[in-house]
Amino acid sequence: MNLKIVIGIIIIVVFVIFGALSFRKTLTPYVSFEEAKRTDASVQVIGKVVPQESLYDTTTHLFHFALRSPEGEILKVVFDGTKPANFEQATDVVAIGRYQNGRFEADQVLVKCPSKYQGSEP
Amino acid sequence: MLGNVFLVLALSSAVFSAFHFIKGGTTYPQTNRIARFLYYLLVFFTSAATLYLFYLFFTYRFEYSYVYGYSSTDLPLFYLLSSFWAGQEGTFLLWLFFGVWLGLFLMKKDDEFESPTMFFYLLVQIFLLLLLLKKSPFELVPGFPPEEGRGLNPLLQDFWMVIHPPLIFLGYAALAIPFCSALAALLKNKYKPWLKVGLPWAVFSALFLGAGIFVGGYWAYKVLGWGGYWGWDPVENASLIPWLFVVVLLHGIMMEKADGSLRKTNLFLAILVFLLILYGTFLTRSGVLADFSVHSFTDLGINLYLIVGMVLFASFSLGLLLVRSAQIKTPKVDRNVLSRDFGIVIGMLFLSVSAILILLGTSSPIITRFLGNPSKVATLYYIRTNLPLAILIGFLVGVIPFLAWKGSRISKTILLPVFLTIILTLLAFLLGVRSLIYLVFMCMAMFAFTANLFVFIRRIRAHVLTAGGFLTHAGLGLMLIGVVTSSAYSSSVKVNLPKGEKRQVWGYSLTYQGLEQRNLRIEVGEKGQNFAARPKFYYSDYTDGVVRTPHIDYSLLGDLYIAPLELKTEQQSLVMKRGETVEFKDYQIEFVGFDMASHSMNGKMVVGAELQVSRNEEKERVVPVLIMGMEGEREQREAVLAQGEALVYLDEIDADSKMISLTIIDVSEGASETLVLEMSRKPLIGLVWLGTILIMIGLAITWRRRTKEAR
Repeated sequence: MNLKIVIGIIIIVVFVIFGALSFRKTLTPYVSFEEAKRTDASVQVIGKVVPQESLYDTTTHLFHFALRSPEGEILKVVFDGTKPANFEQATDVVAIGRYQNGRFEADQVLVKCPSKYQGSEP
Repeated sequence: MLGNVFLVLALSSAVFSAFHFIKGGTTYPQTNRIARFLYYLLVFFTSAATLYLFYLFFTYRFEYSYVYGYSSTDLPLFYLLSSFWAGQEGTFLLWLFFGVWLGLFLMKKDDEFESPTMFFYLLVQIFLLLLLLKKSPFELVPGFPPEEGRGLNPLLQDFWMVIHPPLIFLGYAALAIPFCSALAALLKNKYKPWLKVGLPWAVFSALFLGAGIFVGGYWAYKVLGWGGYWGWDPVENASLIPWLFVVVLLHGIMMEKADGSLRKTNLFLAILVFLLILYGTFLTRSGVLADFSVHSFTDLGINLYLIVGMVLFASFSLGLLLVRSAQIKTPKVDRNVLSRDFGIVIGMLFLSVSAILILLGTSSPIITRFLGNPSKVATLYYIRTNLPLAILIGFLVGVIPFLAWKGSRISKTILLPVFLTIILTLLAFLLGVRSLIYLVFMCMAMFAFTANLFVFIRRIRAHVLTAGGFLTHAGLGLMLIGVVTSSAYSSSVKVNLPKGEKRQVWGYSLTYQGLEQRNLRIEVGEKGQNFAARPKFYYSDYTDGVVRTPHIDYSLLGDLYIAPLELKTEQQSLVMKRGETVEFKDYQIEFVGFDMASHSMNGKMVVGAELQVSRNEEKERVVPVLIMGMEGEREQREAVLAQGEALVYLDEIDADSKMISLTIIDVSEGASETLVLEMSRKPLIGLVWLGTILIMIGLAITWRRRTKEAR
């Protein structure tokens, strides 16, 4: 009986440690543009889209756009994907990724819309 | 108005019914008769409210803001069904509707558990009714009733999205039954009878919640066009976590029925599953995750209700368990490591760990909020933590059928599936699975599949009803194989297709032929055989964006997934000063000035730019308009140039320096267009769907068996 409890506890402990490590490693905190430029970890930034700056490049298949922080800083972002729906109507855009090669390379882009455009996606 | 009256009457019936159920207890059968009558009234008024909401949708009563928000007269009748549950208010009503009807199966047991079970069950329905009255689908639009509704999100206009919410909420509603029976058992301090009720309903919820989750995944694959079926988004996880725990629960009750062990564990699990539904509802309905999900969450102003409800349900149910915990007697069981019962317990443990890790990940924005900076975990977290668990679960699921109950050795019949697994793993290796972790994963998944299929075939001849579990486990193995092949071994490429030009990709010839109403037409040729791929691609007023759905060429070995990304038209962006003239093709465009009609409307800035367009002797004036709202939202109303040969958009204005920026898009017949699409191969993705179907059939068989037993 003792052996089995020990096995159970070992399993739980191993997975808790493993889970906690993965948890910490893959966390992407919200940071300012300046911090995003400083660190090479994966982070989240939020800003307003700079109009006229977004472009889908058909040769590299990257979507380029720029975000403006409330303080007026500009961050150039590239996203390996297509322009998200409602991009133009967005009040704020969230980009998740890391800053490298002089630009913010996003893995994921989330669009925050004013309530009028709030869809009813489940 | 009538709708809210029904809801208020339903609430009063529920409250009085609950009161009479608890007042009499078992000593006064006649109070139960009154309580039952009141419960029938609850069923009646809830059904009336539900039917009334359907009636409002089918008669296009747009003065109701819920009807206005999710339907329109041009919506096909069939999708009016999904309008009902497209919004949160409707889903709460659906949940309640299923809940009160399922409650009829709990009533009229004429045993000492009827009253307490029904009392707790009614508390759940009262909670839903309060939510519904706070956020009612029967609210009227303020002011003048609109003539047309806003319509239904085009992404939801799909068969699978019509049936997805009812499946999920039927599962949710049923999960209250094990919860309430467990509470009744705790109250009565008698722990055997609730298992008879708990087990079939746990299986029932696993069946419907599971089916709902799978249907949702299939819809995402078929409609959303990002190529996958599962994104570890909070909305998806919110239903996956209780599902995993209800699966743990049903194994636990099975164990307890056999040897009386795991008594406290099962009571705890039945409570936990229900609390997790409330927690999931809170996560996805409260707006706490608004910055962390691709789904749009709105704060409906029901946060306080949800939190108070969660705390109340948690404190009295867990409190009751705590109070009784010293009195709950569990027989001492000795398990051999090589016994089936030991294997099942370990499997339950692994599954729980997986669910807890997903729960932690989904809650990461809340957990980290207490530590300072709210953050979420990447999807990599879920994959990394669940991959080893899935391997271990695959192994257990494969080996358990060959261990005897209370036994101490492995049956020799395991050799055949082991042999098959080795051959299949070698085959996978030869076909290109070279990564060690995926090879181990596939090996275990194949083992789970072959082993359980083998036992299932042997069992089915003797007694079908006892074979359900093996079929479910075989399906799980099959699904896991498909998950790896279709994700880790999918390949994709982005292609530019200028209109009318043929391009070669992976031995397919692709020709983009143009836009036909709402569909793109792409001629796909493969070894002399041609077919037309017609993915949807159109501008939707509802979402104010482009709606794209992929075209999927289904086949046994793998799907060809063609997802349109962009349609690049000939266009030009320019910045102009007032009085300046620019050329676009053979047009002269002059910026005359800002439109005098510029004014603010409902707090929005409306600005037009007056353009003088001339070609040869023809002259016309067009005014593209830009509307800017308080929240920073923008809406562009394009102007049509030269009988529809080009569209002009006003992108930005600078009133001080009298400058504008415009985008002109050539939409004439001969204009060049380039379609950018993503083509992917999804090897053996059919196994995922086939696996899920087997899981469902297996669960249905088990449900049949357990309801028969309960009688």
